[in-house]
Amino acid sequence: MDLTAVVARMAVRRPHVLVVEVPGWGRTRMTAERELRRRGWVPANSPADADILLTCGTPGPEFSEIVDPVWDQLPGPRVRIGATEGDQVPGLLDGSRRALLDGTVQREDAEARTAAAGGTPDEHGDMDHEDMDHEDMDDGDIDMPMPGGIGLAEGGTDRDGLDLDVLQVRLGPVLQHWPAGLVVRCSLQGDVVTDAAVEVLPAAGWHLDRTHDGAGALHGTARSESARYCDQAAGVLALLDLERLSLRAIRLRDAVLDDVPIGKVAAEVERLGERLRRSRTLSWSVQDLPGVHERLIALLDGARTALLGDADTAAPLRSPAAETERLERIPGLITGLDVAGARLVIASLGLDTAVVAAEGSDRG
Amino acid sequence: MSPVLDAVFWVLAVISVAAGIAVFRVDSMARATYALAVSFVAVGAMLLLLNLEYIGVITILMMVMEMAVMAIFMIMFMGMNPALMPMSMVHNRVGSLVLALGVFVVLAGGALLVDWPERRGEPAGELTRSLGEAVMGSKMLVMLTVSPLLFATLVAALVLANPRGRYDRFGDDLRATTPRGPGERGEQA
Amino acid sequence: MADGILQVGPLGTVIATVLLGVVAVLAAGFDGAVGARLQGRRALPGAAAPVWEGARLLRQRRRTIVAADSLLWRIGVVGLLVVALLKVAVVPLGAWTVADLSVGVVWFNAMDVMVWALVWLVGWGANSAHALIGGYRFLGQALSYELPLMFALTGPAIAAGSLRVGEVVAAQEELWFVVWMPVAFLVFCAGVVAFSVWGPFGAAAGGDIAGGVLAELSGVDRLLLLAGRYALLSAGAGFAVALFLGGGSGPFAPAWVWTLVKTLAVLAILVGVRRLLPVVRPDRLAEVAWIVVLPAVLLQLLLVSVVVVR
Repeated sequence: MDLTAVVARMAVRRPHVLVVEVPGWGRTRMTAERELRRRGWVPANSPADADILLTCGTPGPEFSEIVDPVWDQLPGPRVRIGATEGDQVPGLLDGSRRALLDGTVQREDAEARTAAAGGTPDEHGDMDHEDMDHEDMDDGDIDMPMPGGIGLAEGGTDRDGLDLDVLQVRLGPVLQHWPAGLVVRCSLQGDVVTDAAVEVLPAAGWHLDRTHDGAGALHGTARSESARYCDQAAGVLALLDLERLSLRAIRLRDAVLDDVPIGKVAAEVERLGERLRRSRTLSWSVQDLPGVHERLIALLDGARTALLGDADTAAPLRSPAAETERLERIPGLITGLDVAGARLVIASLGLDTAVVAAEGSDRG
Repeated sequence: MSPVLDAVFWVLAVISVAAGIAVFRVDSMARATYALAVSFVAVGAMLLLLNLEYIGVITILMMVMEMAVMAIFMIMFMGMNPALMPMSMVHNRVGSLVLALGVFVVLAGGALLVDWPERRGEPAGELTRSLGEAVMGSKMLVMLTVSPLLFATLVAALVLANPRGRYDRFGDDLRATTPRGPGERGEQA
Repeated sequence: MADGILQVGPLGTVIATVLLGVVAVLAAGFDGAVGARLQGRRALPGAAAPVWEGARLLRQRRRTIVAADSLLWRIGVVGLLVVALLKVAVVPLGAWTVADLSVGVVWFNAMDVMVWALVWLVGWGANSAHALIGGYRFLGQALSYELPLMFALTGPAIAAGSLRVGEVVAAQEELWFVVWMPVAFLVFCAGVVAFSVWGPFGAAAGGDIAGGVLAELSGVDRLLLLAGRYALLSAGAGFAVALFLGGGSGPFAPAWVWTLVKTLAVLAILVGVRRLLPVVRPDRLAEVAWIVVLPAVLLQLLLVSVVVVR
């Protein structure tokens, strides 16, 4: 047996998967994450870290425009898959492991990339425009060649009155623990947000009704509403790197979805909420971010309240207007914070982007 | 010195000078800063060759630390992104060249022309300890007074200069509760 | 030269390198096992994570990024591993050491300052906002941890009256320094975790900025950086044993066995701390480090100095 094959076989024991959630497919993403955990595969947190790109749901045109370059950034060997239903995931993952191992598939992929790059890897190879979304800033006063076609940072006054570089950076939508489809365009000085604008990229053919049909809908029942709250709480905890608490919230999320008796789960949710309320480390680490701790606990309260209602009947959809208003509060909340603080604040808001995905899109 | 040490000395000498030249030849702030760091590290290593272990290692430590911090300031105050935009590291080319060459000639000439005395006696057994005693021994009281004063001056200057420092965030009498975040005051208790 | 400390030849250097690699892999395996256990899988297959991960990254392609400063980037990537090796050079294994420097303690300190530059270079070189933020975060954090770390290193040196690591070990024959320098020991361990960009001090490679300095690394580059982090943790654990835990002293077994056993024990705690504590954002750290930790270490030093003079 040759060495390459041995290494390849070992290499696919623990693939890293970059999971991208399209608004409305939270349930599919949760199932996928659970399947990854069961297999001991690793959720990737950047394209460079990933072997497999898994898109949950069907992205709209704007969303696709962002996901395609992300796919270009996967170093390879790589596989791209998409799932709309949770039960497709295990089969797709098995298939992608085979594809990762398949030398022919990977060689063809690599050759296609080299061909697409047209021998100028500097221009098209593994372009890195996902993170550095430099806005075009050739507005006359800087008239210089842009290396790599990337605009230059401009100067601007920071919060201490110093004249510092301003970088235009797009946060989202391909980020872990981040509301599906949310894009925050930030002006950064160092890592401090000095300005921000928010939008949500919708799914293909998005309309309000689709949240009621089966495919990827997370709004069917109060149980799924409760699961979403648990999921969001787990996201905040994961951003704080409180791994054990985050896993606890995720287990609760899965238990809620698994039709575990309501009384039992609700008690567990309450215990976790109590634990978070009392946690000194938690309150200390978000002390400088007003509202984060309270909102985190409110998320768990929401999870419990949703369950204590009639858990298996349809839950009322959140009103798009209210969600839009919450979205529009983001720039005011995060301006002046560093990126870490901004991410915690945004995660703690518990946004439901699926309801508002139509706002601002040209679907009408 | 043994031939091996001679060779090491020359290699380090060449590295330090070459890296020094590179500071002005490279086209990015980050590279210029770290070229300077390399030059200093080479000098520190040469001090190690002279058996001045403490001074050598401390030189490396201080210089790398300084350059790491300096790089940030240089880059953030540039007003453009020097990673992407090649830029010249030279201002006032002629003047600086004359100055640099002049200083180099004076120093190098001095080093070569001075009639260095022969070594009398032996180096102390514990160089670091005797160095400390030579520097600090009779002046310990002065050092003990001056260093906290200097430190307090630095801290005070920073506190006064920083508009969002703790006095602002906690209120003038430090009675405000936890600050609410960058740029915001805490509530008065 | 301290009594009983032998400087090993080139072969010893090779052995030290291999040993550092083995210890680092064990650390990664331990982390994998704990992680698997937490997620409800069996621990033993989890312990093989470094093997699978190593193979995966060796097979993965490296990336070229538009307008990246590849030279500085790769220097940073390789540098962490080199610095870890240079640190291990002054850590005695029982009676052997690679380099018995008269200023071993300062040498270790100089090497951990190198990490400042290297981590920032990794963040800078990639030409990516997330990586650059990671680089900035590390320097912000470094300004908080470095001074307490330096003072923590000073404690054992004052007590032993020497900067030579072998003599610091020898000075602990009667009583390990950890017993009467617990604050310095804890601060040193925290410093090790911090310069390894690990766990609570891993904000520079935080998940909230897509892996920060790791965000753009793939293939062998990523492997080197991850290995460098574990190697730094291992070197730090080894140095903690020499400085505070009596080096190789212990009954029944030879000194080198004791050094290894103690190092692995400290390392296990340092690795495990990642699962216990939340990540400390550098701006949160600054206040604690300067207002609580620094005075605490200085008081520890005062205590040490008084004991030594008396």
